[in-house]
Amino acid sequence: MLDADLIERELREQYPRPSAAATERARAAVMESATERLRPTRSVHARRQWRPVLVGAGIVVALAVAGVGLAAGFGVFEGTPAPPDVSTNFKQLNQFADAAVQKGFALKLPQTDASKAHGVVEIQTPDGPEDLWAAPNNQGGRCYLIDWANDPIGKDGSRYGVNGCAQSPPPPSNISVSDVWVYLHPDVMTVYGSVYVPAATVQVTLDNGSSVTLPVVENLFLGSLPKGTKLSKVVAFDASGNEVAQRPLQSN
Amino acid sequence: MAREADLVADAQAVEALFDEHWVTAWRAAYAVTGRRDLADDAAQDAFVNAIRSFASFDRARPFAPWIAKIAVNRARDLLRAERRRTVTELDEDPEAPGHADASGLLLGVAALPSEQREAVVLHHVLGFTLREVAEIVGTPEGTVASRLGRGVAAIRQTMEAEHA
Repeated sequence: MLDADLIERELREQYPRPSAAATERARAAVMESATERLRPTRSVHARRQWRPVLVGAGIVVALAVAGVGLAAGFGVFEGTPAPPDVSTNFKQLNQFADAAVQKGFALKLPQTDASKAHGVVEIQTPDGPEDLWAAPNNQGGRCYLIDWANDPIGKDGSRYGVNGCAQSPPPPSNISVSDVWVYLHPDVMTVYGSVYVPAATVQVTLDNGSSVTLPVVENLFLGSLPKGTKLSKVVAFDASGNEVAQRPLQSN
Repeated sequence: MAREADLVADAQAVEALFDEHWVTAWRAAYAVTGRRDLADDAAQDAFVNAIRSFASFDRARPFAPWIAKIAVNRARDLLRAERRRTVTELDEDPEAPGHADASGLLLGVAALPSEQREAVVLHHVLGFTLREVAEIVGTPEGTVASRLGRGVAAIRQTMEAEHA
């Protein structure tokens, strides 16, 4: 009688596997779908009354929202030269951009100068410090990487994180904002974006009417909220507290 | 209003999931369909749907059984649709078990009733526990155990007959 273990071993070895062509086709479809998913897609939602909060120039703001501490530390972090694992991630972003073009994605990412990657802002989250790094790109804008300082470095020497590039040309509102959560930090929602006019802060208004104010550094901002938090509006202010851009958002 | 986009690429995490679980999803789909073209479509659809509905996934649980379940269900849907077409379109895949150059082992698997084949592949090929297989195929654990026992016995018979 044939041994059950032998059958199992042989079956695992012999049972058909997907072809390389099918695998690559599926990979392209999945990645395209993922890219689509990660873009903000919100339906129109009733607006909350907005109560402006004036914020002084250059002030590092810390607000507590829904029990989650949110503090900006760009003063000590800004300009920090990026370590090799962060630079590697920017190089990989270039490879991803190339691959996206080759695979016919609608996404058109610029090429980044990884050698000029540097720290922009660091915030505190329940999962530890979260950093925003940036590097200039060949379209006159900048690309960024958002990572957690305490995450392990990948086997390929790259820092795991969310990366991308500021929108070009700018959106009509002059503010772009995204929220995302990542597999390694499933309870934390990262809010980030760009302001395309000179600005010192952005006020992010939540669906429940409360708000958080984030510093804008190098036209970028970063915040952390509990996963599932809905955003209703982002308003940018200059150093004098004047509103310079506004972006209503559409909640899920 | 123009669509906003700071361009986002949580691509590494998605691609890592794909690399780790694509073969599992495909083999689970193939266990249902027995056809490469349908398994390709079912597994791909499963992944795309999984990524789209990832927010609803309970991350306290392993990803593999979840994607396998989606793949199996999608494969069943595709197979049902295919069966409405002419039977002559089936079994055109030269690598499919049942074809002349397939091994006796694969012939034995291919000859199993579909519910036994699914149980055998999910448990013995993909390594899912009985409980996980039960959840994936939507039957009680005892039923899965019974299907496995009968399936393995039938495979053994086929192989022993071939070597007799």
